[in-house]
Amino acid sequence: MSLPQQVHVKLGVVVKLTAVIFYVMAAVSVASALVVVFARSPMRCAVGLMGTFLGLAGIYVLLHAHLIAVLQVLVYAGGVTVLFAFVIMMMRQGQQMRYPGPFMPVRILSILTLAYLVYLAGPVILEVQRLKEALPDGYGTVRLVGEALFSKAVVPFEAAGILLLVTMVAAISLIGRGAGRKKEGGA
Amino acid sequence: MWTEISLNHYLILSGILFVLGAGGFLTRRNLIAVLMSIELMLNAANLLLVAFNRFHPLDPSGQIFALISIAVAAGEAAVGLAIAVCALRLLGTIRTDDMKEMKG
Repeated sequence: MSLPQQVHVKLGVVVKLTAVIFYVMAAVSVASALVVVFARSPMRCAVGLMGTFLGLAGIYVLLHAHLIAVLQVLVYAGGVTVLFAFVIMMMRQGQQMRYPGPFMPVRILSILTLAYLVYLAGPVILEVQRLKEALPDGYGTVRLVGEALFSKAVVPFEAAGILLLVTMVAAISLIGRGAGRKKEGGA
Repeated sequence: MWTEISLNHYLILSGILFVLGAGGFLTRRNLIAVLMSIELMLNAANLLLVAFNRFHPLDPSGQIFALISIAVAAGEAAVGLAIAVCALRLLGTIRTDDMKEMKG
């Protein structure tokens, strides 16, 4: 898929559509990340997390990494967020787990650190490193990434498979162990 | 500067997301929210990998790295949530302030 590179606006200004999409997606993900960090109820945090994932998926599409974008939506926005939501609903037991907010020295330190970050990042954003527009054929498609994944990165791939198996066993045994004797204390 | 998206834009977006995740990780007291902040940080790292791969497009190693990272993050979320459920069963709370069992 290819986006039209330039959109002519009536004022004679040429606005690159990719820039508009980038800023929209970046704003969505940063705003959702703010919701994750500052929202009081955990369910709102989960919704914010989903917004961050979807915004980042849009950014991956902008970077021509289509397979990663699809997997981001499937695994993160579809899987991980729903897992979080299920656990939050399971744990809802009256305690709202409210967020009291950081205390004052932390707040002042955060503002100082943020100012320093802006001071550092400001000059960097001014020098534009141009994107290489010439991408090889099929960059980011399932075919190219899959071929590389199964030829030269097959060992990490298998290791990830084993890791997921171990993870599944660990989660099931952790959850299932205390089920029968949950009020006795100690497992 | 504003109409041309360069590598720096992606780096700064990733930095913002990582800083937000790290701040949430350090300040939140709910175990679930701490896990969500970790997911934010992992996503920021993934964005870096994919953005750098966009600038060296002949070798798809960055995207493969991002794929493996997604798998690891999914496993981390599953085990972390299982540990949270276990903590709720054993301790009756998932506030990180109240978990003092392993304090030396």
